Amino acid sequence: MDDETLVQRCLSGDTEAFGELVARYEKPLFNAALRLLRDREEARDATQNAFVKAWQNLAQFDRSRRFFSWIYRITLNESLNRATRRKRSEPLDDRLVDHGASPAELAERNQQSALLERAMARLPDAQREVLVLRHWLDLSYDEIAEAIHLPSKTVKSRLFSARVRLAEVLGTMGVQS
Amino acid sequence: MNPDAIDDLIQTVLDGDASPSDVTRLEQMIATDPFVRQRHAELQLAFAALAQGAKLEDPPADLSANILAEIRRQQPAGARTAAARPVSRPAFSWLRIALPLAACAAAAVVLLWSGRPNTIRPAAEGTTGTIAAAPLGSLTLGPGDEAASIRWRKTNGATFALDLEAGTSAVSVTIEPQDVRLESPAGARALAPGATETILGTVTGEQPSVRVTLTWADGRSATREVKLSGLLR
Repeated sequence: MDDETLVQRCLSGDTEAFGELVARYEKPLFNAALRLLRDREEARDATQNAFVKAWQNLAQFDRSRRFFSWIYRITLNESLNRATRRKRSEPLDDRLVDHGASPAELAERNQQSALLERAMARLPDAQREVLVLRHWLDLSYDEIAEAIHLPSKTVKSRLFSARVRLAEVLGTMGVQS
Repeated sequence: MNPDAIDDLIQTVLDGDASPSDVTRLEQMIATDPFVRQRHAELQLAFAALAQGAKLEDPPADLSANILAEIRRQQPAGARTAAARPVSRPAFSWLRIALPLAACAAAAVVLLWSGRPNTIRPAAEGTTGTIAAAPLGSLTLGPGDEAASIRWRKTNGATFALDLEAGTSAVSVTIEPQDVRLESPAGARALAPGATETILGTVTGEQPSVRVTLTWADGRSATREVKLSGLLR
């Protein structure tokens, strides 16, 4: 069943249909929040709040757009608000630490993932966002453009800058091509 | 070829979107131009790191259940929100026409009787109430419909309120404060199914948080840390 049909059923009060949308998008949205917040608990709360807000405001959803783009925006705003609140109350060094992972968990993770995670943490939010959308969520340039309300050309140039910056950061961490 | 065009070509090739002729052209440039070779190597490093390290993590197992529990909690029986209209009942579909007609007729009688057909009163005229502060955050903790809801909001200055609401089962709630002082006594408090309780507190340090532990009658428990850093704004 496509998203549009599920949204229509949700608007008739069908919570099971909303359950389908949750099942479909909880993983990419949780991962998007996780990459931005770097804290599983905060990412969980941001994702949950985003879905609840989507449910509350479903009547305002413009059905000419993709449902994912719309709920992604809600998740993004929720994550950025949380990140802003946290930045105001935590010293810079704390923000570079992954609060969601203990040393034991980090050791269990794939080494490349941990390394990439640390490098990504040093990128500006805007650059990290396009990388997450492209490489974690596998969105096309056009899909990213719709999700973050930017022209495709701008998305492409931002991705380029982000990849160059990521390469520089990886270089400073001793990673060689 | 200008540097921007070279960058664009390299990125297109690494994205896998380039034509075979563009790939060949880039390979020739890499072989002959040190700048292109260096640029390509940099970007290839980023692409390789992303290809190997960008992996989706599974969300918490209870996330979807908690989301659905929360929206069902916000949609109590009889609620009428835009996103939560009940499914129509075909057997009584004639009522959808008859009831509004009856309502219009009744309204017309009332207006004519009052003799003031042009008077429109604000809906809130003559009413009193309290406007609660918008919550700074919320979460649900526990499985499915048994999940308890926890909301936190700023009340006044450095004080805050934690609003607890039990799910469909009785639950014992223990709150361990850090950098906050709770006004109610420490220790577990029991909430009956669907019961609510508000706990007031004051921020005393720079990393305010509370660790909330729920324990159900059958011994299951769940713990979450609620960061209250938003209260410092």
